[in-house]
Amino acid sequence: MDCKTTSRRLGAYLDGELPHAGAAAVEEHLRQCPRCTAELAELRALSHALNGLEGAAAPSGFAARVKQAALARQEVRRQPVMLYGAPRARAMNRVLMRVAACLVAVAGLWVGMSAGGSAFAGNGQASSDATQAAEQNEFDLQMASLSAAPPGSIAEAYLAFASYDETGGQGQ
Amino acid sequence: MRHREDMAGQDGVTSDEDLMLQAAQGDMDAFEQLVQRHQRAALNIAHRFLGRSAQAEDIAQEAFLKILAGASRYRPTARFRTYLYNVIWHLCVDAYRRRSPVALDALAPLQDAAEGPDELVLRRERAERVRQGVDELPPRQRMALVLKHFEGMSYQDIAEVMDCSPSAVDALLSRARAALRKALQDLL
Repeated sequence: MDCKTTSRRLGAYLDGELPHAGAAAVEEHLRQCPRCTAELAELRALSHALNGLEGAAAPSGFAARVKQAALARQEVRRQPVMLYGAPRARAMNRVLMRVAACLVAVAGLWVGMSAGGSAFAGNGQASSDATQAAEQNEFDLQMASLSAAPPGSIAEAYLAFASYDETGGQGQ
Repeated sequence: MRHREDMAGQDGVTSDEDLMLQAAQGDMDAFEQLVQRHQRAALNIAHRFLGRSAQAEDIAQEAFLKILAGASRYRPTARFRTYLYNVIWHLCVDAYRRRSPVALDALAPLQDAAEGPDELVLRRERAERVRQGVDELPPRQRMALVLKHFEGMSYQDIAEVMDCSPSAVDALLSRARAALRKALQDLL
């Protein structure tokens, strides 16, 4: 076994992960190679240095606190969906309210179209007569307001034209 | 439901896997017993990986809660320890991604009556250098190192925890050690 192969296997050798034959081959090489032996010593020193990484002691009552937290979560899961409750319940409420708003809008539209449709269908002629009468009234009012147009003005010409239009050219 | 006495092995100790099955059926005392058995390892893995004891406590608690939440789906095909460490590993990775640049906790115990102030300072500096070196390792190398060096796990077990092959664990540890030897050359 050469240095390159040995160097690659030193970690596994140190960890006891090499099969018996592999470990024996590494040891055979180490007996005759000071460089690889020094590398193994350095790995052992590194392992020793890592012992300075202290862990964390379990705080007292940790297991009991975890159990309480678990019970609290189970309690939350058992609670029914409530308005302004848990986030999931609030999200569900928002969806339900949107669906309800859509249903109200569709129902309103349907009622409006039904009512409007029957009014057009039943009173079509009456509606048309009423519209014509309103338009005539509006025209008469406009004419009345322009009856005092000064002589020679554009307004007087317009009145003359309107009068001609009404009488069909039979004079004022 | 089988009672705990029925599930105890020949040595009178109920196995982790049996406690887990009891916890799945709602036995919270069995769950608490599981936590007691593994709390130290859970806290240490998270603490050594993240270097922050407060966060380690949150992760350990969350790991146990996640395990209880999924207990009904648990099948004792793998050892409970491997299952727990796998959950911790994933939580540690999440925490690593969200980590903030806060100061790391003091690492080495400073109370030692046999040491003078100089030795204490030197040891503390040395521990901080090692901590920094470990903290600079990529997360997979760091977790492999923590599980091997401090939990004494085999490459096969580490591979199961980290969802990879034993040869990948070997490679991760080789790279971690090479990086640390370079970073801590003057200390070794």
